[in-house]
Amino acid sequence: MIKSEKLVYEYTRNTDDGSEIRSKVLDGLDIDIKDGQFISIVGHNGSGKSTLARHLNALLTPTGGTLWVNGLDTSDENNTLLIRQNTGMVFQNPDNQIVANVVEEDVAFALENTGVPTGEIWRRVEKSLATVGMLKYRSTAPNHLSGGQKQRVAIAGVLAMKPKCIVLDESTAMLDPGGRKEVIEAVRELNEKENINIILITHYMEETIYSDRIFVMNKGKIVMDGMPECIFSDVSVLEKYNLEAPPAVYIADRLKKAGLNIKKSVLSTQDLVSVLAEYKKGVNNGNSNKGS
Amino acid sequence: MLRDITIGQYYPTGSVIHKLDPRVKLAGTFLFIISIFTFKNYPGYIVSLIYLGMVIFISKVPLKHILKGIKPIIFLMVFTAVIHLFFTSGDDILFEFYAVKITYAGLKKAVFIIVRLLFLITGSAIMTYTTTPNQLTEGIEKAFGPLNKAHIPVHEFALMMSIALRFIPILMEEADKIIKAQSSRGADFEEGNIIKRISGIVSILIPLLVSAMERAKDLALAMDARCYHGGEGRTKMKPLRYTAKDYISYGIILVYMVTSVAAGRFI
Amino acid sequence: MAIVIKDLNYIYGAGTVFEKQGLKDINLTIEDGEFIGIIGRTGSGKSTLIQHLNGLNVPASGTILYNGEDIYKKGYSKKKLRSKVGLVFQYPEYQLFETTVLSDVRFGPKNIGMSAEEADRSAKEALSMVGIHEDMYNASPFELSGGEKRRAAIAGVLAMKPEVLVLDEPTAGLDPKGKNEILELIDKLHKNDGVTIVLVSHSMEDVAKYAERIAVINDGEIFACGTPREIFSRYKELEKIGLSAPQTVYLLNELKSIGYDVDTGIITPDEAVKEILMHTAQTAYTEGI
Repeated sequence: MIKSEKLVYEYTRNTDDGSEIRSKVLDGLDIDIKDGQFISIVGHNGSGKSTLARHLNALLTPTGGTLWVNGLDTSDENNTLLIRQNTGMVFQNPDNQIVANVVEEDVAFALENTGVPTGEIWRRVEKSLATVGMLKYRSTAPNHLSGGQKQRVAIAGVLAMKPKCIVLDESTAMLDPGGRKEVIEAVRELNEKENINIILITHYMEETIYSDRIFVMNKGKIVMDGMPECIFSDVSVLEKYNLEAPPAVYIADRLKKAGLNIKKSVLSTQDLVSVLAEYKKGVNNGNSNKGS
Repeated sequence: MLRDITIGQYYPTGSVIHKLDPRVKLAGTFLFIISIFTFKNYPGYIVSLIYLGMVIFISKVPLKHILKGIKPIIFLMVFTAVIHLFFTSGDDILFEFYAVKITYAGLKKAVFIIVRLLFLITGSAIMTYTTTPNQLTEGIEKAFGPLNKAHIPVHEFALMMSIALRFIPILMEEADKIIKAQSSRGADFEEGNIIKRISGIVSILIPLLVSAMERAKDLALAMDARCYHGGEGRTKMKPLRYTAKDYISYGIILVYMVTSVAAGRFI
Repeated sequence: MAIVIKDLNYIYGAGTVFEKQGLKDINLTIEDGEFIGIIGRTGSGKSTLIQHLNGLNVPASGTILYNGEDIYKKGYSKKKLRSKVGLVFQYPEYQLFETTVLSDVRFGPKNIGMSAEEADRSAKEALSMVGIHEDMYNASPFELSGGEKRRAAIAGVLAMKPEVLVLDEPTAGLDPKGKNEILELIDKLHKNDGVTIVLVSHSMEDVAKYAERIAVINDGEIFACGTPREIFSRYKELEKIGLSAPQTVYLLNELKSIGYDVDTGIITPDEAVKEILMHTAQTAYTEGI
């Protein structure tokens, strides 16, 4: 459970002429995320989404307001290690977050840090690698893996801590389409089977359509908060925040604006096909009714 | 070109030597090197050669591979030997031609130098062929563990080494990419005047440095996020533990030290 | 006939134990003024291929002709070639190194022998082309935002006034706004300045929208080459080699299978909207009577 009240993160920068510039990266956020939810956070560069992500496991602490993760105040240093075990984090660059030279040793890194006994480390490493489908690469050097595989190893490294929540900070940004799919499928499964909170920060809107809720961030504020159906109901609003709707949503939106009567929400290509199938049926039925 | 240097690269064969505790191999290599510097005469080298041959045989690393590894260093060996050959003074003159004087002592020294260097390099190479960099780091960390009490951050040094090893191939690939990118912008590394060449080199070094710093920053953050807080209270997935074969090896090393030093100094 | 690639073979780590065939019998002609997209999975060899276009990689056999001349011929000036065939690497912001944005962009032009004034003029032109304002000329390139860094790095290649611009995943890792800025810039260079564009991309949507021709690389070989319509009509084959078609192609094929008589060769969303509207309107009209 993640909850915040008027969360503010502000930093001051000294310019060359000696004056100070203060910028609010996070501007009074009130968040309430329940256990087991899949949340996506979208927003253009500089909207504050990565800064928010770094608050969730106390890599950054608020300069104003309060943030609780599982009831623990992130500003209290005594809570830091516990919060980081509860909320794991996967970063953007797959190469820059792998510490060890062998996959299994990397997955064990957090467990070694938190003093888990050797036998338990082996059990948890094995289970985590199996969960993300990387067990057969356990003795491989990370440099020999693809981007998607590296990110799955990073997820396993987090998973080994038995976290309640995993934050993915643009973890798919540097991957090719195949790698992105691998990572998204892995985290969806964790959400559904293990009931782990997923907080997915991404630029790719098509990755967000499976989430329970989407936050749209702009200038340090959450400007939209709702289910995908609701967020994608008006493409022009998204465009205002420099975001791009997935192609199916975009096409459905244009069709609607051209007068086609689409009432159901469209998130994927499959949705759009079934809507148009019904449309065709409706037209045919209407026709046959008239005929009889 | 960097890729052609095979010396020091792990060569997996799954032999007993590979499975030894890295501390045994570190101690063995260290003592072996010390031993060859104590010898005053040939018999010591013969004992050394027998042991070295045995270790190579047991390690299953092909001799050809080892010899190939030595190749880049041959020049250095010959050079040192030649210097000793010509510049060692002595009464027992073998050959004289104007100012060039070769003495028996010089010849002996030159031969010794070559043999010593050859043994030294082969001996340490065997360690790196049979021990992964990671095991080596762990061995060093554990072996020097007691220094922790003297407030020397052994764990931190060991971790730094192991991280450096992980990033070497990444940074090498990156260097290759930056060289190509700057060449695409017409940068000169080999031709052109000195100013242009320096600017070409700077155009590689700065991006490489910036990128290394950025990676370091990312990695520090990722380590923080995974609860890293120094060596205190840390457990190990693969703690080092001695087994019977390690104790036997220590025994063999001891026997070697006694026989070789005895042979090298007193026969 | 700008670039002709003839029977090109490339071997990684030639002469070492790690020897591996990188490219196999590549034949491809890139015409003057065309916009060609190159697609393929990570590791398929597409980056290796484009690094041949300005002579960075040396093939094991085969050759490349630029304007009819063999670029691997002895005495052929690589430097001149590199000023004509501009190559923008993946994440090009990692090659910025000078103290100011302007001097960084001037690096290329100066290297290829432009005079100081010429280099200056050319750099400024390139910067304005990529939308970097004069205020930033004297800033350190490391102070720019991610998208700006990327554009400054591209300007560094544009300032050499290349006839052919080769870009390796120029939009990787950018947000939608940054991505569109770059793609619009490339499109403008192609349409307004007649620059030949070779675009390597993972995004089928982007290639579909901009490229006039697409080459598909798989396992170091050319798997297919043709117009986007031709290539994406073979979407089932593309899937077999780990690629896909734009979502629009899937949509229209699905619609066809449920009885809509749509043109399945359409690849961009805007065209798809028109096509669907035409068919829904038509159905409603004819069936409605």
